[in-house]
Amino acid sequence: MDFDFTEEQDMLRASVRKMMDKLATPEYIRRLDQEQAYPTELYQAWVDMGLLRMPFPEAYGGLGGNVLDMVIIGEELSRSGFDFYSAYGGGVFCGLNIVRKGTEEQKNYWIPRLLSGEIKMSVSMSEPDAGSDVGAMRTHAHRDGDDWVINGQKVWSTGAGAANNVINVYARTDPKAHYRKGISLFLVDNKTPGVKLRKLDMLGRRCTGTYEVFFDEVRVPADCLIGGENGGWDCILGGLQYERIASTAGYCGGAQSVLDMALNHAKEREQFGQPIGAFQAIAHMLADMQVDVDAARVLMLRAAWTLAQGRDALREISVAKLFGSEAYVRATNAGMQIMGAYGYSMEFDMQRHFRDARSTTIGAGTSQMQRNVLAGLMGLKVK
Amino acid sequence: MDYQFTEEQNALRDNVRKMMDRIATPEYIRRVDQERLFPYELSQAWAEMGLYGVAFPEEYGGFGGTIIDMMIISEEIARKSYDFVGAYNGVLFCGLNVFKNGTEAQKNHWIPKLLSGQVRMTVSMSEPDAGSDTGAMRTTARREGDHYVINGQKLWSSGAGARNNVINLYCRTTDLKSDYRKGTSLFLVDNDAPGVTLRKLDMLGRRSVGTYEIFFDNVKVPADRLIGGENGGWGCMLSGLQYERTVAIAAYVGGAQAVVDMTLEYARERKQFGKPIGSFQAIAHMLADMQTEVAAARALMWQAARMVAAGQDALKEISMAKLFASETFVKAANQAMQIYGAAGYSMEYDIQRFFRDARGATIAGGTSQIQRNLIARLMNLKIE
Repeated sequence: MDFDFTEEQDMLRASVRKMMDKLATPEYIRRLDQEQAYPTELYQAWVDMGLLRMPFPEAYGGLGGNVLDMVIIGEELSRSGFDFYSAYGGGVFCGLNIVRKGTEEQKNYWIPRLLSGEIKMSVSMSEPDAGSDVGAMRTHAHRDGDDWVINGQKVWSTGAGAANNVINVYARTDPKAHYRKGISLFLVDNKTPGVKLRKLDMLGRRCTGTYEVFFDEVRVPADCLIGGENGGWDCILGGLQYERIASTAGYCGGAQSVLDMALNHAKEREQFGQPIGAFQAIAHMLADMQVDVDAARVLMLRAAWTLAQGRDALREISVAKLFGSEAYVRATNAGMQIMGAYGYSMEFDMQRHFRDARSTTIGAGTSQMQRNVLAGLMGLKVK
Repeated sequence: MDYQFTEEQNALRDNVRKMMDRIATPEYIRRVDQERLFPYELSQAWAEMGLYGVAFPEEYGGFGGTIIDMMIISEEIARKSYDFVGAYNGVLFCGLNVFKNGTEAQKNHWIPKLLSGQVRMTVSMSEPDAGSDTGAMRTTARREGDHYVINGQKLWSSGAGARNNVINLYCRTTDLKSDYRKGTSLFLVDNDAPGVTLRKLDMLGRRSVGTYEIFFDNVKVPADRLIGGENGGWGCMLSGLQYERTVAIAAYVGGAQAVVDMTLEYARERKQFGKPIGSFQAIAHMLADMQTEVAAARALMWQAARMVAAGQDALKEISMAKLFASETFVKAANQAMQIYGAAGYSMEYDIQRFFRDARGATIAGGTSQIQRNLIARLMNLKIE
């Protein structure tokens, strides 16, 4: 049992926080959120700092960091807003997928470009009729000479429309096979002819952006297939645990910053001649929030540690994802109550966290899907 | 113990629902929410239908309805949008205040104008340093000849910027050190009076009726704009509080039921894993809980309403119903978003609007914490 981070990890946290404090000022974040603008300046700073290189092996230009380093980055980026973390995590985990599943040629082609910021990457999986039910996926690709031709429609694709973005799209390549044996992963530049993007107006996470993507006879060369024909399911599963744990770290970072904000307000705001934090009803709400966030963080660290030992951590991660996302939503809800009308005002940051957080029990596997996974691991056959 | 509606009340509900269906179409609501436009078309229709008249006796042009009638109207409007109820209730309760506390001349001047839709009214009470703590109010009015001169700042004033709106302004008229309950007065101030500056605030929800910050810089109002006499403001505020809260509760219940109805329909239609998601127990039970809670909120609401209608003091029952119904509305909208998934999170569906609008319900009109204080005190607890 060791809850300490290394000296290097403490330094990593301090430098990420310093960079975010400098660039992601309240005015900057507010402008981006209002204008639904991509955090281009932040992304460039992450590239310059080498944050994108963190989890990649040194052989491909990475820093060889482990899951705990990623947890620190996830927490720190999300303190300003979970939305920013998704701009970071989206690209990194697509890249790691290529490291695991790509050919040597593919790795040498894509990874340096991703790490230098020349390209970005995003995932497209969900479809109008295939949300939690991945098996209902209908987008398909068929072989035509040396090319693959993709047709279909994806929805809720985070960050798909960013500049120089390469969409990691999952499509059926064997319609007769079970979906676990009949889907493949393709890398498609978002400017390829036949790709049409529609930016969706969503309640939150408005900077990185959520897109609907249409594929109409989109032709990509055969070397854009990652993990081999019908190898898509393995690509999804291969990085899932790592990705979920880093997102969960994001929930924890966001929740703690919401708590800090509410705590500051409770210490400063006076009503009835005293700071509202001196009233037991408010003080206890804040105490409960801290218990909730600490519990989420301990569960997240346990899962990260398990994964760092090279063990299967599906149970630990599902527990942490479920609890962490729900705790983040609860924290923003309580934070808004403590800030009262100020929390409800767009001139303060609480409402943005309230909006952004609300997606976390829905995206990357709903709370209901996490419970299904857990119940299954507990030996229950759930219908 | 079920409340039995009269035939007239059932007809009233039908008519209000039909009118709302006709004017407040999904496109209309979406547009006024997005563009932050006051729902003038609805407010005009309410005047034409005589819905404002429900609160006033026939001699002032009304039709002498009961609180039950007002609740029916409030609930029906809220089924479309909780935000719209603010536009209706403002007129109703400011008007009732004038009716209860005004002179005969004031009543004859203001009430017909309200009923015809010629003027609107809204309340301004909160200030930057006076939210739940009304005693910290610092806006002042001082007498100068046959006028009063008002200075100060109000915050979170719903609907204050609408056309032809008269702000019902509470402010201090005695030394600030004296008891505010004996030193507050109510003035009617035109929102375009010289010295009044309005700033529309950007808020998470309730964006159609709008929330304003108001600055009063040497605003002169004639003495006949004082309602309930000098230092009679606290009495004015209390005189309508029970009615106002009870009718607001009907809006939470109407909004929450609309959320349940929409979500139920979605859960029946949306298929995943080859069947409607509503046939999964996890989703079905969420909906069952939502409906149970809304029904419980409704039962608490009728308990309070019966007492108010009978002229009894119902502060405890109203506070319990306000607390429970507002929390239920927030919770229902939150669960609805979970059931809708990413579609609920999209601005192209209505659930996110209910989610945003509902979140104001446990803050405005007395926070949940203030309701708990009231209830606890009525349980003979002395709270610090």
